[in-house]
Amino acid sequence: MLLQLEGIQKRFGGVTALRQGTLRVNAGEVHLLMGENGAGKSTLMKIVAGMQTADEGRVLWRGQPVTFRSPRDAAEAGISMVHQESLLAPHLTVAENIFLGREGAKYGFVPRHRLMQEARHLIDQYGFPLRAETQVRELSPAGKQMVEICRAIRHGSSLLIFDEPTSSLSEAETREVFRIVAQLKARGVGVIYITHRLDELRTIGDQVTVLRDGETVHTSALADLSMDQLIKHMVGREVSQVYQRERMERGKVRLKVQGLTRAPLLRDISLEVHAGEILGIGGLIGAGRTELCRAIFGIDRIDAGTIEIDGVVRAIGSPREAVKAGLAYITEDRQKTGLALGLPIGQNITLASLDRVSQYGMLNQTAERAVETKFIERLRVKASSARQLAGRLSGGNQQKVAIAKWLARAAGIFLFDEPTRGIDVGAKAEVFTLMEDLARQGAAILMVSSELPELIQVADRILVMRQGQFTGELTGGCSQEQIMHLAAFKESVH
Amino acid sequence: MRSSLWQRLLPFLTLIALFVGLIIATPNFFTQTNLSSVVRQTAVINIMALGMTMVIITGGIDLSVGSILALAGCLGTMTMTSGWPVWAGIAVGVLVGCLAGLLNGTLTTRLRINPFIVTLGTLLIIRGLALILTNGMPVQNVPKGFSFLGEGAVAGIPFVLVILLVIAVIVHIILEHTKLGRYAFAIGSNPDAAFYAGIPVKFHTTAIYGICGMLTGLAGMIESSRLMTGQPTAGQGYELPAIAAVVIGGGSLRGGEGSVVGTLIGAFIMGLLSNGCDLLGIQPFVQQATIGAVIILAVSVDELRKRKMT
Repeated sequence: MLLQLEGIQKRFGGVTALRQGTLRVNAGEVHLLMGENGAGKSTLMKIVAGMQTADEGRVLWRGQPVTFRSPRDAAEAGISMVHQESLLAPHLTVAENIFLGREGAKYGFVPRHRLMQEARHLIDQYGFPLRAETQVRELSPAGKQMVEICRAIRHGSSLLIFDEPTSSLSEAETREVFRIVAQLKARGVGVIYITHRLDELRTIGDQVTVLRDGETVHTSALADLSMDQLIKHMVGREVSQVYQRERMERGKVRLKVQGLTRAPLLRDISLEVHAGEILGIGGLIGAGRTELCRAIFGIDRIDAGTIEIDGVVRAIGSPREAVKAGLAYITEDRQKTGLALGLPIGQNITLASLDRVSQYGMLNQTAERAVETKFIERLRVKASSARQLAGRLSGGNQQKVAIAKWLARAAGIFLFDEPTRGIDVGAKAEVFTLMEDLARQGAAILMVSSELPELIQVADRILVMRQGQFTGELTGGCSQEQIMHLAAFKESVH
Repeated sequence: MRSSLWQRLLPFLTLIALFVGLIIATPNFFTQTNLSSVVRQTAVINIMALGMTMVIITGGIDLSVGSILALAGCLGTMTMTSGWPVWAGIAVGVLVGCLAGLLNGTLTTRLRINPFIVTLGTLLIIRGLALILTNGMPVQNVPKGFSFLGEGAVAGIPFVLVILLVIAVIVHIILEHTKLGRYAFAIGSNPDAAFYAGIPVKFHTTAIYGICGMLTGLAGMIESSRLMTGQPTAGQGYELPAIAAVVIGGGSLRGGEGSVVGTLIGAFIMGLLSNGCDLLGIQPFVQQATIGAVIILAVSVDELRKRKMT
């Protein structure tokens, strides 16, 4: 037994994040930590990694009771965390980052040559797809994660915590992460793995522990558990895992893109989205899907092509013009581009539609409050009040607020970019229901997603992109293999 | 929760404590003469600090306010000495300030240069301009009536206090009750999210710098009125107390945070500190060091409070 957590409790002010956190991890085991957003997974892991201390309960490390007061304490004991957001120094090289804080400097001088060699040795040993002399800022998110893993291994960690490592990775990169995790396991390292992606569990997991509302509600071998049981433990009620969308009549064309080109990422893109339709855009990371949304929404200038909205050709040169034309863009990174995290929820909701609650530049606070309350209730945003800061919501609730911003504007054409990234099962279903409601009310929806099962279930049609071009069209309900085939191989239908 | 309320009120309580402390410590403090002199001395910085509050809320900064103050004061008084009425001179001063602010805003948003650098540049350019225009000599012989702006009183209340309060109310309304103010907070909190929400970020940011310049121009006219000259060297280093007032009052240089009430409290804490030191016969050198310590103390308390919240 490597790590044993018993009855961990943690409160922040009046909010209880953990009431009964229990977890046991053995050496050479990949232990999945599951649960909805806000269930307490991150808090529990922060306690293990020394970023926070528990109010109550015991942490046993190799059988000894311990309290880690800082990440350094935990690292010295042999526990490292691979972060979702990279905590590396971007201007330093891979090698320098691996040894950061442990250069073994003599009289303040860093033995650069030796560090570089040791880094190369480590990279070769595990077969990391890295070069020791690359600057970290040039790496992809996957590459950065690899560097963090190298760092943990180099520091002799015997327990590694992965917090949603694959949420922003492509299929190939995900496989690479799995391969490294398997190697770690084979070398007797314990791994705690947090994920929301149900499809990837079976590939890597041994044991699973489920947290719900700050409590450990289930722990067992993964093999003993069906997917439905797992989901039931997570949400505490029966949920049909497969989301079934009722198909509806589609109306007139609301968004029509013709010959859209932006070198080198987008080439001759044409598409139509009808009222009442959800058009899925599939493809691998880097295929140009986000770039397509950005171009339509006027963020990036286009070299050629036209955008027609409700039958009228519009020159959209900025998000402002896009918003005026009735477009809405729910971005893939709500923290960076979707929300003002330091502002209250209410102000985020009305941000794109202040002209509707103001006159001559003066805000009508009664009208604004009404809009805030209406959408908080309609989307069932879990918050203490409209004045709560957006940054303090869970991922799923943040996403609801990001969507509410466009509902308050009564937009008619929605671009959803990875709408379910980093949100839990329950919130996913709610987001889909919302999209369906919008479609039923006559909105046109374009949905980019890397989650193939979701794309297949939710979209009426799917266009697959590869290297900035459409390679084919499929109808909803097609197989994942069909999408992958079009996304990964060069057999253009054009 | 309770402790955080205390901490939020801390600047205000400090101000009260300082006030009461000075009443007890020296009989010369709570007199009409002294209090109105405090008000007159601090009014210039306070009005600038209100403009600075708006800029800092957008995540920007304006280091050039001291120079804008001088240029506005010089051009305003020059207008008067060349035969125009006093009100026209004041209007020119305010307009000059506004244009300088718009220049700062335009350079920041269109060239996408960090406002720290832009206003460091315009600090030198505008100061140079003021010196060139006046040949380095103060503008003399301004009309006598001009002194009312800085030194006059209405029913025993210093006129500058009236101006300050009116401006404070206006800035408060802009920040809390207008679209412009809301956009300022949104831009400061997350410029990308604001842009993606269809907000004309550049326009509003520039407008905020323009308003800050306008208030600075007015402050320049008040300063000139108190000196009864247009000084091309006036206002050197004024940007620092203006920024300090915002920061002591809870504004964040990262943007998205700040308030009129906070800034006024911050400004008056600094004003009372220096007045108190004067009255108690404490060396001016010690004064400086004390104010410096207060800035750091205030910000650390505020940071601690925010860290507790997350």
